[in-house]
Amino acid sequence: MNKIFKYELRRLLWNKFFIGLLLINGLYAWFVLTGDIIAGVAYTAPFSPWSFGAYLAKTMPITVLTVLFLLTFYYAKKEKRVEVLTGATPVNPVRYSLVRSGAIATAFLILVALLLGLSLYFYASILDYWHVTPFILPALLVLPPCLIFALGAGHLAGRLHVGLLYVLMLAVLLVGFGGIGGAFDPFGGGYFSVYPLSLPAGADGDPAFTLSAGFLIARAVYLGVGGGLFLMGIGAARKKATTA
Amino acid sequence: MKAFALYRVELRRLALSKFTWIAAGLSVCGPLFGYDMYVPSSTWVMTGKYIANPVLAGAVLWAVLSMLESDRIYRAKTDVLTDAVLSPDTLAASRMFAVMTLCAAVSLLTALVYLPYTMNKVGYLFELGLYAYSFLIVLLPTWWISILLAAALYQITRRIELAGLLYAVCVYFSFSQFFGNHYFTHWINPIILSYSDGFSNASPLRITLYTRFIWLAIAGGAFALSLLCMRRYQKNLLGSIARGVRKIYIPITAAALVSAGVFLWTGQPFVDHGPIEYDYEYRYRRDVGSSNTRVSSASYRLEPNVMAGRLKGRVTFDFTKYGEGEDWIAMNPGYTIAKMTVDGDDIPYKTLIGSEVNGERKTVFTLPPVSARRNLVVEYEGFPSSAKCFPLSVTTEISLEYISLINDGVGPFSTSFVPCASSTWELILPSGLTPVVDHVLLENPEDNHNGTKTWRTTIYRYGLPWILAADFDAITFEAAGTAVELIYAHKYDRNMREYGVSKAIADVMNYCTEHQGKLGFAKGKRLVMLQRSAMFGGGNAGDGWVEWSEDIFTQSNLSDPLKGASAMEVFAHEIIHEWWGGLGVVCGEYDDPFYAAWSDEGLTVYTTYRLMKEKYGELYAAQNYIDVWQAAVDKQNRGFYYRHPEYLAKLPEQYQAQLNSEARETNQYCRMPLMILKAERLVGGEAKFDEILQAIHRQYASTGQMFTYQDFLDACDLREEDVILEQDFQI
Repeated sequence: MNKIFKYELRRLLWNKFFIGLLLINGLYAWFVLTGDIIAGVAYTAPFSPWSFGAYLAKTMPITVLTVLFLLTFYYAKKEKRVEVLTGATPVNPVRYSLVRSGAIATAFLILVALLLGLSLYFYASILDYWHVTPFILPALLVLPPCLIFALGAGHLAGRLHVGLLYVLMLAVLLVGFGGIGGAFDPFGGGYFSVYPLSLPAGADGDPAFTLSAGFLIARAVYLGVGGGLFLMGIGAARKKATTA
Repeated sequence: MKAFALYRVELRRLALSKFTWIAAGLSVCGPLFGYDMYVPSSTWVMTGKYIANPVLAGAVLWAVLSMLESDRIYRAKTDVLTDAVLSPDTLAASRMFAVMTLCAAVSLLTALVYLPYTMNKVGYLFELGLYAYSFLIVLLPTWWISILLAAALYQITRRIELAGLLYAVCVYFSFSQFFGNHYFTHWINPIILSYSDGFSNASPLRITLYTRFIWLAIAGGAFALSLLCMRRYQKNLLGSIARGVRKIYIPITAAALVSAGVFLWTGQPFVDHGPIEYDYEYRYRRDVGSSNTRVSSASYRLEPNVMAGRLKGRVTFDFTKYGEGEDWIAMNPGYTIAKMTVDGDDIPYKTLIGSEVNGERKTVFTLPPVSARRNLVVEYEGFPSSAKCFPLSVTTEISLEYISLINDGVGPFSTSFVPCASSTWELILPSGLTPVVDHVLLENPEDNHNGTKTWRTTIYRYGLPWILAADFDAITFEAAGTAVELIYAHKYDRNMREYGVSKAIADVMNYCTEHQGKLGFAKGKRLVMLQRSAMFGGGNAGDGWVEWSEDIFTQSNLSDPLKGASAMEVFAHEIIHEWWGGLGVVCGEYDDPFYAAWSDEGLTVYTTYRLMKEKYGELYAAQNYIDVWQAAVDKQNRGFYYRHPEYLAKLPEQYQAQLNSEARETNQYCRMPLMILKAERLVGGEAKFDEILQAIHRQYASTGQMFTYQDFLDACDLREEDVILEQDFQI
């Protein structure tokens, strides 16, 4: 399986599309940092957990789009033709599916590492801010639900029809840049930018990073639904292998 | 098959395709979005609302068609057959020309469909030329660029979804705030801040045409480059490129087009290459030192080339040189010096290329050190550019219908000279234009019998005048005992009379006279009110003059009774500056940090609020003034950099300048009016406060004496801490 993982990883990462998308992610993240986050969201510091959460949330649509795009590699017509051969091998289809998802998750982590690296560089070089711990909680609230939901929904859409992955991408663009706001904002950008305005200012003038129950529930729902969809996808893979 | 025959086949096939007709139908609907949903251009002017915005929509649809058409043979898996009989790049090029031809036909159809509606809405201000140019210069090239770029992305990637994604990214960046103020980065959404109903639209059309050429060249180059990427002989991208370059004319065309685009971009004449932020300290650095040169007279001769938008000028300085020292002149970076002579002999000079700051560029030279009076002549010529720090500000324009020459756009000036207090001016203008120089409408021109007239005047002050020329009309009337001369574009004559603009002006002046005192004009001097092009935006006021952008006098504005805290109030605000600023009381405190808040604006904004309160009622005034001020002050108080100025100093200069500018604006236009309102409450209400303002006006108006913040506090018998806004101060 290690070998397959390495192969899948190489296939995903070592191609011009991923490198191009990595560049686009980086470029966009830098624009967000220097254009939006530098001012701070909701009158908070640019390095407040609110601003950092907003930064991650604003960059997530492009990152999720990249993940969905990488998923199209697995559900393209050519790939489906090859499936006949891979299905004939003694590889456990569930494990194979997990390995492939692991490769996608690794790609996501590489993208996230780039986003985090850029933000830390931005904070250190421009604002002389060197702390990391305030960013852990917003990162945990934004990143895992986005990844799991994208993987779950993407796998399911891809299994139904590869075209649905593009519909999903369009939906990500609309939701991501249309601005849903509120606790159920899938990426959380609207929430991080608006919710602190309703909170009392703390000792340093910024509101404390206290989140509403609604938002926490929403993140858990996205994580749970994403996980559920993902398991459904795995189940479908097992069923397909059994039927075959 | 010959390429042209192939083009005809493709065109016929497209014309018969159901999908093409759907796309064409939807494209015709595109301008509908510009009426309401997508309105980047000013909607105050009728042509902006009904022409500029509609032609800015609809390009994405053509990109979809372009990509689907490029993908068609691969989708149908007929590429093996077509490749066997045709060169894939010839087929792609023919197909693209066919799509572009169809696009041109649809744009013509769209123009015809909206013509009757637009004529009806714009009314007597409608101009067929502007309408046609808008479709030809804005809509059609943008659709073409979209088609070429989409096809190029598809042909490079050969994956429709990836091409779509990349196209979406390109669209996103064009719309994103990151490229907000740059004409040249907006490939799909050209910036047209405003059209003009009464003056000229040469500026937005010229710059849009130029940006369309840039992007057509780049997109065309990308398309030519993509022809190299056409997959052939089952080869991959690199293999196909290796085969493709054998047709050497393709890479040469691609390189030529991309180079042309880059050349046009870097060599654009519209915005100079100075720093992106305004340099507030520059003039102090610039004006250091003296060259011991005294100028006893200066005469300028300006001859605009209205078709090319260029200015040819000649200035003669009579000077005396008292000692050693280098001299300099500065002018708009778009102008170049053709000749510089002293008593007819050429002298060496050096224009400091790359030294552009705040929209001016220096030329240095050394005058012969003699005490006798000599004659320095500078001849210059060029296309005036905007300063990069104000790239969207169109203060200088030369066109057939409108000439606006402001500051350095007029010609060279120097503070290294000891200047003379007057200068003579000779303007050679097309017969249809009447000049206004320093807010004085010139009269008695000399007819040159060649379609031009020569206008002469003398200005009695240091520095360069503001020169405007258009088909101006003027009416004179009396308001609050003061003679008023209203100068406006002839096209607005109907609006001015129908909507009783002179009465509206008189209302404002009567209010201010009654509540704050009579204007202190010298005997016989008029208050000049001047209408300028919508490109100018907002309003301005000075010593005996007021000027507004034309949008304040548009039909949609004048006929809307609810236009409160917007354009009509800018109109009132600028008139009120004649009481607070201009010829009235000049408020300021230049060496005090508080200057950021204390200026003419505070009392002017407060008086506008009082006027609107009287006119529209207390609720209206509270909602549109006090609440707005309070919200802005609250926002400022909460701002991170306001609370932590130590971080402001760490930011890049550009961002610091932006935040400081925002803070200054909030302080002057919101915080100070709120503090004045608090002072009004503390002294005992409006009537008592009016008495104080009248006393201030009597004492300070037209004296040239600065009215400081401390003077204001003293007049109100208040201390500084009394009027500071506490967090809980809510009115």
